Amino acid sequence: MTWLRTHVFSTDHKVIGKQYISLAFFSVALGIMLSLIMRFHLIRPDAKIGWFALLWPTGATGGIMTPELYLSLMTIHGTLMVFFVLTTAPQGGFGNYFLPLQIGAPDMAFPVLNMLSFWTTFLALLTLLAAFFVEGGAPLGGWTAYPPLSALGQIAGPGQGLGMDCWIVSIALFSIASLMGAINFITTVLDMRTQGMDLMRMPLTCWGWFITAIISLLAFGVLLAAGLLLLMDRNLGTSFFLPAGLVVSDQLQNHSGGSPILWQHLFWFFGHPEVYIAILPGMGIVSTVLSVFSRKPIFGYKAMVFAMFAIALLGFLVWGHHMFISGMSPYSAMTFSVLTLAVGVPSAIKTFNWLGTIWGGDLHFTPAMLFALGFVSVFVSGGLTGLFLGQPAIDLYFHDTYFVVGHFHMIMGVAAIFAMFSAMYYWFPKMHGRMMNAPLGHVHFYLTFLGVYAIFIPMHFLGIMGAPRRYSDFKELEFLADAGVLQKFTTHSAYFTAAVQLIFFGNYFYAKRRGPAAEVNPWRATTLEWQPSSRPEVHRGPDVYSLPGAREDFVMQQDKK
Amino acid sequence: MKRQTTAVILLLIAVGMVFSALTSAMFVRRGLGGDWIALPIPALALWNVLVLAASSAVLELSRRRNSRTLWWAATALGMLFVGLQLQVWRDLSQAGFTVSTNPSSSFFYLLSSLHAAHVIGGIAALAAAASAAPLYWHAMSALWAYIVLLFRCLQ
Repeated sequence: MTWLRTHVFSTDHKVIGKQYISLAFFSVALGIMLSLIMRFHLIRPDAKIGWFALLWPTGATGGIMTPELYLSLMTIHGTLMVFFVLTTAPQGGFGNYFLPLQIGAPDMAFPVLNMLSFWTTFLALLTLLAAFFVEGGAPLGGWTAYPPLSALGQIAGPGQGLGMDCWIVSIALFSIASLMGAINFITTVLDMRTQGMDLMRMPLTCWGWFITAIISLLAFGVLLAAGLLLLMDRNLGTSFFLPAGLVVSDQLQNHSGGSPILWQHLFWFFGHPEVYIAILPGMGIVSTVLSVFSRKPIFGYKAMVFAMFAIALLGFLVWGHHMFISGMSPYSAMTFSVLTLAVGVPSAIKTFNWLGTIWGGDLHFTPAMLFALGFVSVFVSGGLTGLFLGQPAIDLYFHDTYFVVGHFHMIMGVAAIFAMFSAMYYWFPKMHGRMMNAPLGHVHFYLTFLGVYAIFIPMHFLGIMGAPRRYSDFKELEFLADAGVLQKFTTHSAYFTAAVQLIFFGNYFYAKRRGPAAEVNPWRATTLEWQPSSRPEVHRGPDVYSLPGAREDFVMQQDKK
Repeated sequence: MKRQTTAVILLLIAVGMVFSALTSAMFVRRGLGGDWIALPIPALALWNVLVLAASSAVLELSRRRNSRTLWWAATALGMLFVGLQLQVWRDLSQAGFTVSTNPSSSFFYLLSSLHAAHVIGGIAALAAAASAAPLYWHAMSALWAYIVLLFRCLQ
């Protein structure tokens, strides 16, 4: 019983943080495996693989993957990565563990609610994975679940029956869990800070988590509402998203007057802020790590905070750029386009300030620092392709091509994952009391850095050639006859990069058990988590490094002098 | 306690986003085509605005006079509201409006049942004598008045 209370149904934020990270580890491993199977299928669509038939008797009869199976793998890959990795690890994982420590709070504001958030997320994950095992298998609609496909049921495809219902229920549960988490995070920041910890003395990590929680609070309710409407269209015969006269598989559907575009508006009103939910905690972590390993204060701390707020605000005003080809008025498209490109301003401020932070610094290239620098790199390269997609005229061409796939994997996937690696290498000594192996960390970084560029840069070329995303097979597309070599290169880069991650996992699990013991403050950082005390009192901001005349080159936030 | 109040305000913002999303979906859906039929809202739904408002007023009185009896009276009025809402749905389906009859009735059933679910949560909070429950409760009264007004305006 006590074991259950301390390790499973614990209300301790540190345990819950680790649980979220474990959940994300599991999801990312599964998500990567799914993507490898998809990449394999793209270069060898006719291959007969025995264990495909074992795993998916109907989706891969005789071992040859059907397009429907490919789509279902893609849907679960996207859903796992966006929701159960990029939304859980940065916020629920590291945020839960370190927010209370960094602001000097004994725990989150509502520990039981915190536990409930995690277990609801866990239930959501089980519900999502259940989709693989129900009749028809997992849904086919991608992580965006556009109607009419998603609103029709079994007739729209094998996974669109029960599998789609599982998906919607899973996402609804996830939304509720995220809302509970958001309430907890915001209340903790507002009401639980220790004496002297003014808002403007919080480490930027805390600002990242705080602003992310605000975005979650405003965005997830909209997704929940959209999910309810979709469930009603599917199961109660309503017509929110389904137009009249829809004929599917030669059968007239008994719906009238709805619009699939309505779903797109509701979904992307959530979906675009979701991108920032994934990236803002990473921005906070990268700011801190760059400052610590440059032994310099953060360049433009206030500007960093305001830039995060600006990104959050603009994030709610740009959802239409996902819908340029939905037939929207060119005036709306122009407005969305201008607002979208405006996101470049706070993003550039942040990039400028990161470079300003390391400029002239005493750089220590630890694995955490390397991944933080890698984050800045992929954030810039991923962001630049956003400038293309943000313009309606160019987007008409690029929409639903591999250019989009390359773009969002760079800026949202890889950037956020790099920030998570950075966080893991940085906080491992605090979380597990041991050190990870640094040379292995270097190898991990350099190979991963090369690997991700090798995967995603060719995708941009594929997109420029016009390769449509979500196709399981390009054989029939003659204009892509020359693209085979790019596809092969991408697939082999994906194998390589996935294999490299084994170095990380090996390093992580070995260090957890056998790594050398860590000092209390191995990186000589200033924030509260590195010098635990029960009632810390804070006297200064988070990033006092290289202070002239100080005994050491840093001053802890709680030091009086 | 301060943090309970903060959390309830945040919860209400989240609930507000759910209902705003549904409201905007409703306006969009209504503007899509000619199939929107004005919903004859049962009179009882209007009276229910008063029931919840009365419950809120009693609760406020209970808070000021520190009276347990009034607190329970407010809770009982809340339960009465849920019971009367059941009758509203019965009246509506007898008038031929079920959940799939028309988008107007679809939205009405969705909004009213979602609101009722939140009211039931509020009743649980009142029964647990949670300190921030009154704030939530007043918001639920206002929310029902808003929903009724919304459907009146769209007639």
